[in-house]
Amino acid sequence: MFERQWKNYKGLAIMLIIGLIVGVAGGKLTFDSASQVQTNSVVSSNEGWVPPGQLDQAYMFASGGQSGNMVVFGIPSMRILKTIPVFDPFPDTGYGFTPATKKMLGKYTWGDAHHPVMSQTKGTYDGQFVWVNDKANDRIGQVDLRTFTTTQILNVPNLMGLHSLSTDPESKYLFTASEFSAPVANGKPNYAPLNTWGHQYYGVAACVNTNREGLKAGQPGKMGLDYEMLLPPYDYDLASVGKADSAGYVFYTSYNSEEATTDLEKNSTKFDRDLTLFMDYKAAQKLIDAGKYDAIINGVKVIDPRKHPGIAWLLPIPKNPHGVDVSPDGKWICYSSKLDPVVTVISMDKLKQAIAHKDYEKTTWGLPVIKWQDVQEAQIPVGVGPLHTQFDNQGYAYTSLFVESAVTKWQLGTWKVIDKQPVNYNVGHVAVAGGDSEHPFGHWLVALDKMSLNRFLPVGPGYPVTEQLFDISKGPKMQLVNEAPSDREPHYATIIPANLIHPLNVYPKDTARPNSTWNEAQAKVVRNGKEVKVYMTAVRSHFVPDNIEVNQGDHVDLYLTNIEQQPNITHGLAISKYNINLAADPGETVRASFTADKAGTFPFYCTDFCSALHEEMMGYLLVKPHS
Amino acid sequence: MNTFWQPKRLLALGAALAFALSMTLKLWGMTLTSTFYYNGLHLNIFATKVTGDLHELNILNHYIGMMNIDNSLPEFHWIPIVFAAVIMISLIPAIWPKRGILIGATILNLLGLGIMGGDFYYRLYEYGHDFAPDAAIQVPGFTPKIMGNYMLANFHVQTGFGFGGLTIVIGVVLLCAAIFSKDGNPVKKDSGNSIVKKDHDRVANVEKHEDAKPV
Ligand SMILES: [Cu+2]
Repeated sequence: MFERQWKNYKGLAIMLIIGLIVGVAGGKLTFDSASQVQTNSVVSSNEGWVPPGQLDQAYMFASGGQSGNMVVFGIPSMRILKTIPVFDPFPDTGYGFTPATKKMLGKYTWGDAHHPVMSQTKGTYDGQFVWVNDKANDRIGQVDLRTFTTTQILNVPNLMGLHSLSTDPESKYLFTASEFSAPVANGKPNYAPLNTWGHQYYGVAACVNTNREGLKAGQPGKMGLDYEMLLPPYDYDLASVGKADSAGYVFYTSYNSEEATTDLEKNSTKFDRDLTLFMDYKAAQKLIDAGKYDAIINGVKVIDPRKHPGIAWLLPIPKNPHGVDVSPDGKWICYSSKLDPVVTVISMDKLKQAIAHKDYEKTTWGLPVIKWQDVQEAQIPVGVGPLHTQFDNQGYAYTSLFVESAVTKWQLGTWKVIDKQPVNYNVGHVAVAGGDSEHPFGHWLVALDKMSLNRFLPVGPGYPVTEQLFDISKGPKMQLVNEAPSDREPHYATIIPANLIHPLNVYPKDTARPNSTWNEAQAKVVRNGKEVKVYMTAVRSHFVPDNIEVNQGDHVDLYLTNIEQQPNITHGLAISKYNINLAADPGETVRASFTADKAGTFPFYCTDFCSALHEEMMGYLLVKPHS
Repeated sequence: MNTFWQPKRLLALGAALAFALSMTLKLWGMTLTSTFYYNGLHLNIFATKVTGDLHELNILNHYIGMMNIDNSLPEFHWIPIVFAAVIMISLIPAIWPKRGILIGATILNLLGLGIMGGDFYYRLYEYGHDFAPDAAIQVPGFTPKIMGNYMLANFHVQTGFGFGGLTIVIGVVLLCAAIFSKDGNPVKKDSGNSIVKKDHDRVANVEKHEDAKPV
């Protein structure tokens, strides 16, 4: 009913491209003549105010972008509660200083975290885990919400630019794909000249099994790759796993159906519609279960969907689509096109019919192409530069408009635009509490804005980003109630009511834990040739033992147990000039492993201001020279 | 039945029960509250054990060199024995409800309870005075009040008896009540009543019997 033909919009397209550029540079400009340039400010509301000593209503887990971590906000205060390191070393918590966390991080010193995904049970956020992707190094991190720590980082081979991440209503699987197509090669460098694009380069989708059942608090995760699927060499942007009516399908967006390998800005924006992909993952799983995969590449079972009809299809969606979001009832698949001012809604019902009748437009790259005219339900004129959509619990959808710096609220079913509010500025994702699940909680929406010009005290030429909180529970209008700056740059966030999160407040005393020491009388140094093991306790305000002597060249394994059981009493252990920095929360055992290659006298001390005699909580590591 | 369950027996038995309850209930407790410990740190003394935030209290107490509070104290071996004795002694007059026996039992029990109380007070004094000489913080000796509400450095301290303390008092009161029970020879009174009642029953039976007679 809102169908638009691209030819009518050529003029607009040029404006949009300029708009993207100007929008990024200037922020506040909009192109919709009906709306004016606006600045948003809080309208006599104290809803965002949480008095000192009172607790927030919800948690927001925001990805840290190139900061490689996850930032936890309180809603509605927008106070930052914690930074959870995922892909970066983080001295605050000793992350990346212990053998276990070093091993998880591997050889990389950063990651690019975009999409945090909350675990679900029966289509509802269950508050157990958050998973997040690393676009730079193709990894998935798992954060345990009992400890608020990263418990696994899974390397995903064969794909480049692991960007999207989405889970099914039971969080059995995570689906992702390559944003950048690349050659796929088994056990050798994936080199191929760019002019081999059409036959040596592939997009790759991956299905990760979360294996999360029965994991104890803080226990290393068991995520594993179930299989991967070769895809046409497009750039796969976002993913959304189906639910309810669309359960069993995964929808991806992709740009660059043009298969450009250079100057994508111009060359990947030529077609009116890009070919996006969706797959039937239950059918794919059946193939894998039957052992009918087509190859094992770098240890992963790989399916070539061209050889198995009924697994993957292509669906033409207008102009460089970015976000794809399935409505809570699973009936509507909503695509946001960066270069078309509409959200395109696909009917799952009609899609199923098209698949059943095998009535396809053509075959491209060996995959059937759906006749989009048969399945398109509506196009919502949301505004310029739509990126992502989230849903509330009352049948409304919220779409972010990057270029226009606004959020548009529209209604599912009637496809009417209800409200549009400006944001400051250039919003990427929006996050509604539970907004990507079958059962959204609604109430709060956060616009994750990329720019913050003039919103905060100036801090030099590098600006923070803005998180803007809207109350969406009070009638048709969205109301801005709070905002906060944060480090660059959260891409996406997941919001969950506070009562669904049940964190530990201490690690329970566990005398069976390997290498732990709970009694100062049992703290000791054990020497075996050049291997020295130190079993150390920390409690206010001393270490036992606090004088350790080793010989130059000895290898030292130091196990530090914080024997406190009082919440909040963390002890650290820093060894001067040895680059050792541990942090042990109450009841935790952490390990430092190093070779004492520098002779001399090295003080060690507690880094957490644990007590009045915190400074006195120190000792000496004496490293006796060779001769 | 009524001849057996006379007040002296009942009161003595009640005392034994009260003392038995005291063995399982909290006898005395202390709560220390501060800004950080807003829920309070608790210390609960039972006849057989000490419970509460012992780990945390000991960590804090070590700064002033106080001895560890834990369940290795010898009291937790001998106090249950004394308690058992108090219970048994209370049961003697429940079997032989003679005033002399009651008085003897009460004196013995007060002696046993007194030893326990004295020992408790001595421990309070000892914990408040016998500090390790090399402690980080040197404080003058103190004895925590047995009942009260006061400040100790940055802590607000509340001390007082638990239900177990109350049941000890009840036990002693019951024993004393048994001694002074004026109902010195209730057996005869009871039997007198019974006879009257029995007579009445017999009359009733006779009447019934007569009713049943064939005409
Ligand atoms: Cu410390």
